Amino acid sequence: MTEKTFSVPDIHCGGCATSIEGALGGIDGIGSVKVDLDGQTVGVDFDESVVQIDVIVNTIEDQGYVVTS
Amino acid sequence: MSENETITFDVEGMTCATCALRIERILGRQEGVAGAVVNFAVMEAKAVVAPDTDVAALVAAVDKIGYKIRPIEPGEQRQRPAERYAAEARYQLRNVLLAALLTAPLMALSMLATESDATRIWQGFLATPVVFVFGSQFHRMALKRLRSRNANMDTLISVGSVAAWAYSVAALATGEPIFFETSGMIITLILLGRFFEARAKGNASHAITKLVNLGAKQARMLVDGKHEMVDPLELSPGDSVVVFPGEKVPIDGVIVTGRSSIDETMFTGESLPVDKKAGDRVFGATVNHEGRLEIEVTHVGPNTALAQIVKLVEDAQATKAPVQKLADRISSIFVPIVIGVALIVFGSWLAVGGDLGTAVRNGVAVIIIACPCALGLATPTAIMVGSGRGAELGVLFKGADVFERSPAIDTFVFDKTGTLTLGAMTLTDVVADGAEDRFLYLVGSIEAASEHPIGRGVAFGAEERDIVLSFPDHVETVPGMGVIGSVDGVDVTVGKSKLMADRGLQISDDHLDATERLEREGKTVFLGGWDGEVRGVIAVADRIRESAVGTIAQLHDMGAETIMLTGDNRRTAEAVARSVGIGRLLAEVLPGDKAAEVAQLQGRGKTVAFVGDGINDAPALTQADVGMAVGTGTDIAIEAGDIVLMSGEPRLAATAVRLGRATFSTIKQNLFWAFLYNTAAIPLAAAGLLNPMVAAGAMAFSSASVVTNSLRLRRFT
Repeated sequence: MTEKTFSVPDIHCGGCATSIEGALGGIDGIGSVKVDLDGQTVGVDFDESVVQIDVIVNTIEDQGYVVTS
Repeated sequence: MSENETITFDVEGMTCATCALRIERILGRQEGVAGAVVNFAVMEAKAVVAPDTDVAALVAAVDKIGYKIRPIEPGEQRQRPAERYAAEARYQLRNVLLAALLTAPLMALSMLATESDATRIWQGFLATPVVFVFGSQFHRMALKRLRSRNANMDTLISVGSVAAWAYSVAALATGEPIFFETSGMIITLILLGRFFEARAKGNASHAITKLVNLGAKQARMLVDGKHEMVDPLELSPGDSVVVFPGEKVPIDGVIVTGRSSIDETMFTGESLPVDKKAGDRVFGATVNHEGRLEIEVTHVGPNTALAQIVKLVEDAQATKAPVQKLADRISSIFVPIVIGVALIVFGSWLAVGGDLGTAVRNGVAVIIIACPCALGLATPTAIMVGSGRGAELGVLFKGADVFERSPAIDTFVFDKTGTLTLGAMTLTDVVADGAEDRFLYLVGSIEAASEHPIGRGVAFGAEERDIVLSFPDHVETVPGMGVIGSVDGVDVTVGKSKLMADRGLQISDDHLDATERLEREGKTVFLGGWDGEVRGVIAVADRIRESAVGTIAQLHDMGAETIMLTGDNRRTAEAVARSVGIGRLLAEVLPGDKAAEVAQLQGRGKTVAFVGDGINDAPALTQADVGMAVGTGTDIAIEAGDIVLMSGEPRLAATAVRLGRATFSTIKQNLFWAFLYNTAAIPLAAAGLLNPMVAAGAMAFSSASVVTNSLRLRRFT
């Protein structure tokens, strides 16, 4: 498992957390998803051999957010 | 190529400003969409689309990220957000009533002295729908959380109610004590909390209805010289309306003929009526005191000052309450601990040689008793009572999260104009070597004819001293310098010393000294003279609000630092700062830099409240941890603020923070009480001594403590 933190500055409330967690939670190869409301980051535990970082970024952006790093 | 069209959508499910941004981005990416704007406050989306765009596809795309949008047909009346909150409150009320309808007999049965198999099974029948139908929202959220290895309040409720239910189902077979009423009560009380929360929003919408009702019901439209009574909604810009003394001004406009004093308290908080004459703006819902006015309508519908206030208040209510976060934060730590304790209890019973059944039973008992029923009441009851009391005191909290942020405030930044001072120039000094009355008569008559606010201040000051002014024969303004005119045949010059020199008027040393002294006091100083000589000096200044001094002292007592941030020149600012006793002064700050100054304070670890009223304060109000918008109501400032101080009284700034602190500590106490009784009973459960009486007692005591504690906020002063 690899752990990576994505910076998503638009995260604002619990609703945002739920939608990002919900979207990422359904993808094969993703273990845990932690959304930090104060830090406006998304921490993802994932299996690099199954899922690419691009897919994670696209999934978050498909929810209407912008991933800055 | 045919033209693009605009489609307006009704949006459901937005909880914060980011939601609006997300929908905007998703809509913008769809085929055929040239642009999209989503307004969080009015729950509305507008998209500019090519003519053959598939609207259903847009709806589906937005649905995918969890919001419902629906195109609004042209001419369709939209439901106000305020009405929606009322509808939500009704829905929650129905929910809690239905749940209570099942839970009440459940409680009654559980308290029967004699228990039979039939009453036990009936309790199971009653509890099952409460836990799994009315409680389904909590289980769904808890599962969602579990998938991301998280726990919150929903987790605790879900685990607690299901554990109590499952334990009791098993106990039905073995004849041991059952806890169906615990599972039912947990869900019902949480639902009650949800209803309170919805009603607190509804109550604020009550305040909106009140504001809407402030508007005039009828307008006298002037058609071909005759009055015609119409609904103010039917007016359009350019129409003429007549307002008689004692009537409400029906709509925003400009006075064409007539002059009167108008009560604008609702907008400005100023209790004194304001004099208005031809050319002045008037606002709908203000009260015309004296004269007949003919008004040309300038703003109608959503553009009136009143409609904007309504929109702002609605906006305020639309913010969700992340204060709940505190309860969630506690739960996220509490849940794993409780499950850990339950496992230890389970293991210990096995270790001391207990059978498997006893070990499971006591482990589950720990989970049952740990879930506090009053948890769901802790935050909503405090917020409901706190914001209600705030409204009574003239402080509107825009969104419940403000309650969580305001206790930490340690720095108050005041924008000078209008918050600490009245914002109107008043005559303060006249130096004229014993001939003050004659001096004021000549200078005042010239100034009265000028449109300048300073001139009006001088003229008012003269009238206050019972000097009857006359109309000057002619008046001429020298831009940036002063005014020249002739009164009763005397050629009078009023203005800066440079104008005196230009006009060949001699200045004595006394007058120079007086000028310098008054300027040092932060006043605006003018000279006046005739017949080759300067005859006297007058000074005007912005008057300090009476309550400003007390407010600053009160804030210092509360341990807060006070800073005045103003665009005014240093000398004027220092004079005001000194007389109100403010701690630190940042003068000559450009409007655009106010937000940066606030950010700099925050960078040094300060939690900043910004109190302001001007349009140019809006960025600073947003930047501040808590923005407090004062009074005027017509300003964009109110939109940017987190707290609205309903009148111009600076005292309310201190009230707001004290109420915020009181409410937040009530929430904390409530959470303490909610957890206390249940946590105290955990050892009983671990020892295998938990019985339904203990569970019911913990429930009753914690709920009563929480509600009583919240109600104490009603006496906040």
